[in-house]
Amino acid sequence: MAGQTVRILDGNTFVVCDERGDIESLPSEPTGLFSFDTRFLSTWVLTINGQKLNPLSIDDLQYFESRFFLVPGTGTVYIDAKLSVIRQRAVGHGFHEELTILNHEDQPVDLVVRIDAASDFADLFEIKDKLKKLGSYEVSVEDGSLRLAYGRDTFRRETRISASAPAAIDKKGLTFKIRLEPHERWTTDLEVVTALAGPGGSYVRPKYSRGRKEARPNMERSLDRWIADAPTLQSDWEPFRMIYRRSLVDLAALRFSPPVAGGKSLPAAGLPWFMTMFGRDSIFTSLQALPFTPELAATTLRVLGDWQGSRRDDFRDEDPGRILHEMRYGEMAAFEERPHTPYYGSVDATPLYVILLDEYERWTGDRKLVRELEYEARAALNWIDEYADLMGNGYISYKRRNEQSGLENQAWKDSWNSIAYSDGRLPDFPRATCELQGYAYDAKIRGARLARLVWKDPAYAETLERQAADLKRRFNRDFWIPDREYFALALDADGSQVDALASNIGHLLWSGIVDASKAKAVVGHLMGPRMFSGWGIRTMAAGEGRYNPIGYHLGTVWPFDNSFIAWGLRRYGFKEEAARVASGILDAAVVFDGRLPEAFGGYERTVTKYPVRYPTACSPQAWSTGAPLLLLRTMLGLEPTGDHLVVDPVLPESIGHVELLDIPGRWGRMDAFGRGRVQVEDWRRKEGRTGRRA
Amino acid sequence: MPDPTEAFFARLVERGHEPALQRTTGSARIDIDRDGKVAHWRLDIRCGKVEVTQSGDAADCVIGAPAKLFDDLASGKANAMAAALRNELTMEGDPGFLVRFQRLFPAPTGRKMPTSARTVGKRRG
Repeated sequence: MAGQTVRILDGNTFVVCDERGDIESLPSEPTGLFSFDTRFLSTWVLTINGQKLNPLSIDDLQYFESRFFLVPGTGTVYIDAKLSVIRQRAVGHGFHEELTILNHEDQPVDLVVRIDAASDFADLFEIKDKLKKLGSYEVSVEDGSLRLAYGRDTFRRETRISASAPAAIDKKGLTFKIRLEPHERWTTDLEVVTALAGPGGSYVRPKYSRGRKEARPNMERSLDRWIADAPTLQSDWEPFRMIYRRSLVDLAALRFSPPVAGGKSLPAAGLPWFMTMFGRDSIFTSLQALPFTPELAATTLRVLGDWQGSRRDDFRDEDPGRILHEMRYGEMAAFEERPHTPYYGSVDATPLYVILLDEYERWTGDRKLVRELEYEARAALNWIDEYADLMGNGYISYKRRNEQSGLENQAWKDSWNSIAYSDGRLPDFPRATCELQGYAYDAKIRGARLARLVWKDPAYAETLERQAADLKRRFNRDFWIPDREYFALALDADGSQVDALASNIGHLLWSGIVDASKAKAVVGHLMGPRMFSGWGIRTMAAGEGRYNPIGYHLGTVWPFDNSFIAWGLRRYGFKEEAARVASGILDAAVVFDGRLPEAFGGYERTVTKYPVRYPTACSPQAWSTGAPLLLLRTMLGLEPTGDHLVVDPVLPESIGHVELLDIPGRWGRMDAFGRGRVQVEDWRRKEGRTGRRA
Repeated sequence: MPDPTEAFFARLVERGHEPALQRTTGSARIDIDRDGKVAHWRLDIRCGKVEVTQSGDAADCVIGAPAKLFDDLASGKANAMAAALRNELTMEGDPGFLVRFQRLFPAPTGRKMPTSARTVGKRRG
């Protein structure tokens, strides 16, 4: 689709269309109305007297709603604005569109208003991989609505389209023949309803209708309520409030209820490719959002617990105790052409699950949930030693069992070339990346705390602590590269070090697995010129064989990555460094209007005045949305200690005064205050200098 | 020799308690259609304690399956979530139950990893 695309979303239903509000999808592009990984509309085109309209302006009203102002066009610069057309569309269980036409003339006009509609029912996987469909289509006009259907064996997907005004409906769309008197307006409501099952299955009405436009992230709570329940932020630094609000709204928008999860909602990963449940993304996002919306963590823990692996299934890379990687609802998953029902090929989600459970209890004091999830947490801890140690060397490593459609890299840097030696070679499998060992260590330490405190099993706690201490000792010996003073990115299949310098070492600080004596050197690398760009820490250091400032995991800056590294810097007492990282990422957020993309270019800040957006980055993306929240927690030094919240603010000077009011937790509600004192590089001055030189 | 479906429910009766259903309290009925004759299996679950009867009484969640499919699920030859997405397995009431319940089905046996020309692809990057 040429030109700008407009995106609105509600949970895992979303619309991507052009500036007119039209949808004319190509088979290989993710434009259209999507729900549960299936495209339900691939054509949705409005014409008046056979002509398409010209866009005048678009209002992004809310994340789920946009309004298009249009006029009939002549194809020339001259616009004959005797008519105006307004399309107002709200997505949520299909969508609702209010179409209004105004006649500005002193003459009556006769108009033929036409909506062309069609659906190819493409699975997102089919769009990505350009695959042909195997089922058959059926189109019919029934009970005053146009029914588009697709079937393959028992698999059914349907779209039903209807209008409130009288329309002539045929198999390709709806036609309205109207006469508008001078200065008269005409309006109709169009409803597009999607269904996962055919006859006998359920159609759910669109969430929104005319005059009912209060945002409802889920059925119980409005957006206003969602924001009101979160802490309030005040700051001298004007953009901070905008970034904070944007994060809360996007987090609400990305929540969705999987159809087999009993109406509970958790964050989907990101628009447009990943509007589904991802173990890793949901856990990281829930950790970031804990001080703000702790119920997100509770839902994530329950739902991922429900889906926990229970058997060995090579196709799905499933093991008992393993936490899922990704769930998909489309045709290819249904027919096992893809393993996502769900797919378990993630090695970090399982230890991270235990980490989230413990962190959740530390904030909320909700021991009931920890008791309820004892079986799942123990199974997750058991998975680390029983199933994840593929090389028998006491480290978590990964190698897919599904060679056809499984994931090669099963940690967060999952692109094919992300794990490399300094000279650019790629190691064989299995691979034991370093951050996985940190997560395993932290999971055992935290599991031990829960075992002692809630499950009343001190013997188990001691075992876990003994294992953790042993892991830490071995790790600091086997992964440390003494002459370069950093931890290897991974161990390869021979147990040798994969020696590229990468941001993964920052996660080690967060986990606490780094010997105190080594922390300073690690921080030196993270904050040094090879890794810190001025906007943030690069995924891979400049100078490495595969370094590329716009390589997906080879040098770009990931806001989520930086938020956890900043937390790690705090953990080891490097408070000013944490504030510098936070300052860079928040400055980038301002440039992106408060909505941080998945990743941006790793160019030197003094060279590019603005952070360069990674070409195909998903946006909004849950863990980027959560990054400003975790950075805020980190800068304020918020740490639950016993039944209290400790506040130890270290902020960049440019942010000035910050107040975070009504922070929920086991203490009820508490306020935190801080004033920026850390001197951060004056980038404007530096940039200015560069400018003069150039 | 009992069919895989009967063997599956017999095993539930024998075990009596399922840790994977620890967080589940409620009832579920599984209606299995064998050549037009529907057999009912009703489960009453209290914090993982499972009672099995062959009653057709109403339940919080009702799952419907043709006998061949349920035999395949009970013997590790089919996957319940994929079957549900295909509408081959039907569901009424609390859908969360199926997610927890399907964890009781055995690991795949006698089943080759599905392959097709449509299975090639990769995610991200």
